[in-house]
Amino acid sequence: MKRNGVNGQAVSVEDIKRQELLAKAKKNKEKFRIYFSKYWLLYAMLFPTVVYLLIFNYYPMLGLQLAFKDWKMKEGLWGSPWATNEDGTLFLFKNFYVLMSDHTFWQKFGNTLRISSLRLIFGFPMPIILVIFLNELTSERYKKIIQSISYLPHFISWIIISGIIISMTESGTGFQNIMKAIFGKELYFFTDNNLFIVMLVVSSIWKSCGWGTIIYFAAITGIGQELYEAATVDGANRWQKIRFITLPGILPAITITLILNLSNIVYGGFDQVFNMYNTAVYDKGDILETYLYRIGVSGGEYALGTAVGLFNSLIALVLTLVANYSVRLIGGEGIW
Amino acid sequence: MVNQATLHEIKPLPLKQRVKKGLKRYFGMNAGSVIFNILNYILLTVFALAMLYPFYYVLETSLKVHDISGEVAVVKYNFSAYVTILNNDGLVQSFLLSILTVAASTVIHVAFTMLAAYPLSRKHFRGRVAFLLFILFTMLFSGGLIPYYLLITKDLKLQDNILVYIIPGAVGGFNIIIVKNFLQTIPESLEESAKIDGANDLRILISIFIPLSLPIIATIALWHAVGKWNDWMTGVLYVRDKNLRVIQNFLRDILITASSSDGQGVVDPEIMNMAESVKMAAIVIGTLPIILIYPFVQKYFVKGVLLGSVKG
Repeated sequence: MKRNGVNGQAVSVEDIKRQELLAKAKKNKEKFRIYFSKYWLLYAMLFPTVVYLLIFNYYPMLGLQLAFKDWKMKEGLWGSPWATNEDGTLFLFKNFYVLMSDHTFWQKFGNTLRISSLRLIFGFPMPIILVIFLNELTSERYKKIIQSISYLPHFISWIIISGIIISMTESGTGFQNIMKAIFGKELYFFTDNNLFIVMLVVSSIWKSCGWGTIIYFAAITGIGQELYEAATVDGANRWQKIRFITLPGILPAITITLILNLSNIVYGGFDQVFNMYNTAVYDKGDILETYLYRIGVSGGEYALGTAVGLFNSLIALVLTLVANYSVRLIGGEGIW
Repeated sequence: MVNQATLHEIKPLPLKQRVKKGLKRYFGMNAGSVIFNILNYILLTVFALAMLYPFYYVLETSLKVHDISGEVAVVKYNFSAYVTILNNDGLVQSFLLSILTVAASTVIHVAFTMLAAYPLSRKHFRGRVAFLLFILFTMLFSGGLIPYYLLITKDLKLQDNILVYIIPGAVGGFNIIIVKNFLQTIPESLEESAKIDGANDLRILISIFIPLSLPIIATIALWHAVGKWNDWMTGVLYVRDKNLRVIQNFLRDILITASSSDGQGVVDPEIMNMAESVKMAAIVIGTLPIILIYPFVQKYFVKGVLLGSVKG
């Protein structure tokens, strides 16, 4: 009896609530109509960008279905059938299965990880070392000049850098004479797998180490001169000031940069590798993205190519989320 | 009361300490600091020279001519390589095409970015959060190379079309967010007083907000322009027509394709036999616009990086 009563009440209360909600929604709708008639121009201003992003960013995301399909040239993206086994049974992950059971895929994956971790190990500390030395310069003017010079390579495309290196390392050049004096022989960076990787790492340090200092400089300007002055009064020497003021001051920037770099580890630097590699260095120099380009774009294997791309961007997405989470966990501000 | 006798007994300081004292008097710092400073200056100068060496190499090679007309080969310096490369239609054409497409794309980029950033920066704007998430998601996730390639080639059919340099990549979420953050710092009272005078939002954006945000517009425009100038991927993926090469693709053809053993793409013999000095002269010309504007715009680039690290 009690229950029924409660139930009965509940029903009626629910009814009232529902009606209230409906009225509220109607009111909101009406409110929005008034708002829209007043501010429609704002929506009109945003409209072109929304359409653009729908076409150029969201539509290709729908194209990811290709990773689970068998590409048929005639049918196109939407008409191609879902991936099936040879006996005709549905097997959506066929493309991934084909990739994962192919040892070249894992070789390229390993190459990518090797190249990007070497780049991280040797390239990541460079801007930090550079910024500490630059910060110790007594002349502001000289500091500015060196900073400007160090930013410059960032604005040069990999095409040009690659062209310069090809030309510089040709047999008989001044560079090769120096190599001869040091190593006793000329070094061929574009045919030897290991030297190719050395060149990738060195040239990417050359291109980006100066630019990488900007974020640390911003952190250093935030430190505050009075800390250094107080340390001087206390008799701290230069190394102690670096150790106990400068380094802790830029530590948050270092952590964020490191974690963001870690989340990009599945990207081996397509811009750079694509313009430098050739068949002679495929063993160690060929990365996932160049492999994707060759099988996907050049080879017309669109479905497999999409699967490689999806594999890569899913790992990157997960790593980015984990990275952001861990930055927050250690008390820093995340990227969003 | 100082005892005269004891004063005379004070021995002169040992040499090491005298040097130390002298340095302190002269430089205002101790010996260790002086040595560190000297080493630091040397180290950073060497670093700067290492940074500049490739540029020096390009310039030197482009001017160097091996004169083998006499009995002994003589190295001479002149501008003959520049004359050769400037007479090459490919370079001039691709250079002009680059300027045209970069300019067009930058105009579109700035227009779209400003138009989108303004509504998103208004606090009262309904659906603001939803639109921001809509934009943010495009920065986190993408369809990847192949679906994008299919969109451009199969759906939009932009292959071998000049528009492929201009429209794809013209709008990006990152700069919209940066400009939005900047517009939020402009006092609302300006907007309100204009509203009272009867101005609509577009009018307010054009005559109040844009003049106030010229530095940020310069920043995003320059970022975009340099990115487009250095873009070679579009040409490699979507353009086969030699007359529609932009500068980076022309340079790629003469610098990389010509010297790679597997010879991706057909190269004409004229390029195969191009002298090293001519190639380097082409690099100089292809980099010139960036080097020329660099001293004036450097601060905007640095500003751009710092803005990017500010949260929304």
